[in-house]
Amino acid sequence: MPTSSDSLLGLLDEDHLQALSDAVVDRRRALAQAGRLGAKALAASVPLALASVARPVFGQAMPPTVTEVLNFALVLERLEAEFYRLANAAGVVPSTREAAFEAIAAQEAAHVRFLEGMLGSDADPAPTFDFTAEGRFDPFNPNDPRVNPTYLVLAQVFEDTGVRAYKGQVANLFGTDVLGAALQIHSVEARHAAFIRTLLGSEAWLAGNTNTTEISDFDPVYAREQNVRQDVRSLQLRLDVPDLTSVSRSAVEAAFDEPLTIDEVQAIIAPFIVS
Amino acid sequence: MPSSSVRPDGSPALSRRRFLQFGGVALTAGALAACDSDDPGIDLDDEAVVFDFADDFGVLNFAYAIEQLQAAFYTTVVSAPPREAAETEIETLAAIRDHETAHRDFFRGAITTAGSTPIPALRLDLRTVDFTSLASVLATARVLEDLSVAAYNGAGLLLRDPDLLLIAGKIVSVEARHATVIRDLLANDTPFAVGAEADPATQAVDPATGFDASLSVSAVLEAAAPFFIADLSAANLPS
Repeated sequence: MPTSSDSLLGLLDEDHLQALSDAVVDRRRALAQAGRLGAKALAASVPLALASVARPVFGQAMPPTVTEVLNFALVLERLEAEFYRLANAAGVVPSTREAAFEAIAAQEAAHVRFLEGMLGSDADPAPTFDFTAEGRFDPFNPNDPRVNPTYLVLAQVFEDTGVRAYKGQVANLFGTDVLGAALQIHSVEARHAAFIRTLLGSEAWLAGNTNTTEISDFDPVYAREQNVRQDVRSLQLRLDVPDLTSVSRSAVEAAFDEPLTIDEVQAIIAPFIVS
Repeated sequence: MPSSSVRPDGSPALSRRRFLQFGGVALTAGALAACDSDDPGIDLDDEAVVFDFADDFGVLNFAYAIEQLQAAFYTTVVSAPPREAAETEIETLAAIRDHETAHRDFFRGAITTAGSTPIPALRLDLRTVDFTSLASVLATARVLEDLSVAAYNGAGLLLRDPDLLLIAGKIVSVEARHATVIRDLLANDTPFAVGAEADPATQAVDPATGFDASLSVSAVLEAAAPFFIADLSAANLPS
């Protein structure tokens, strides 16, 4: 098994899940209380020269709570799990790929169970999904005439968005007990995304902000993916990666996946959510 | 070389004598261990490298080592690809080489620009890989990609700076994309496992939890040890 004793994988029986859930809730309360305190403590440790750089960070809007982050992730996972469940049931998946799609569906369903378990009574009610987006798409039609089947295009959109969504939240889970789990789900979403993209004949990685679905509604899924600058504020680093390497700029763009914000992700998936 | 890595008989107890058994593929080093003494091409006295996790530079250097390994592996592959490799497969491997090279150069540049000293360019022992065999190349690539995913997922938890955590996240998903492509080339059924009735050890994703692997720094160093000439170890890891 690709697990290790220090991962969260061993914690998924019910008792452990509850304990972990309690720990996260405690942690969340502690973080909520310590939010300003932590910032002050950190600011006190920042050298004077860095203080002016660091201060605007603390002036930003309050980051989402852990519960909010987990509920945000839960919507995405429920959307993906339901999407693959329906796709597999509809018979749109080619027989040579059924095992892979069943694996993906099972993994998304496991993510849903994990997040629901973590959230307990704080879990938002499950939304109702409309994968036609009010008739725009017909993803579960086994006679879909398109060269790029609609179910694959939507799967790519959901997976590429999912990768960027988790990435956008890792900093908000920094220092919490669920960070490890989020990272272990995040890379699975990237595996899914790569697989789906390959089925569609695209490169598995993201070439700049190119939207290979050719549906302009999904341009925001790839916004800012051409970024090649990586910043580390505490070290005062503003690194233009092409300056550091001999490989092409397009390779650098592909070598770093970029995050999306909660608002950006919610706008992308909104057409597929009825309520 | 520290005394701990020298055997009582004076021969170096090189880590590459061990077996790499990450993810179910065993890469045996026995054959090359036998030719240590008469191989002038490998200097056995590379200085040991210690990653100091007292601060984030330990993680950055650790990642730098992993990316060095990957970049060197794919550079070797693409410089003389297996004859049986299709043009598209070579293009894929070349693209991955470029990504790994960008990662490697990023870490070296970040550490240097921040005013710290990166670990040296590490010499590698890739003699366990049959670079004339596509199967050997892809099997090794799978091990390296899955290992790097698990390494970032584990080491990310050690980072103290959220910006660095985000950057690690930007890189690990690309490694996961690589892993999937390699797995897809290996087995044309599901890229999340090798073979329809795969050994659990070759499952990329835990089927019960839907979680990817996460490995401690020590476990990663253990798994990667056969590929490095120098002994790599960690200091000041949180207990």
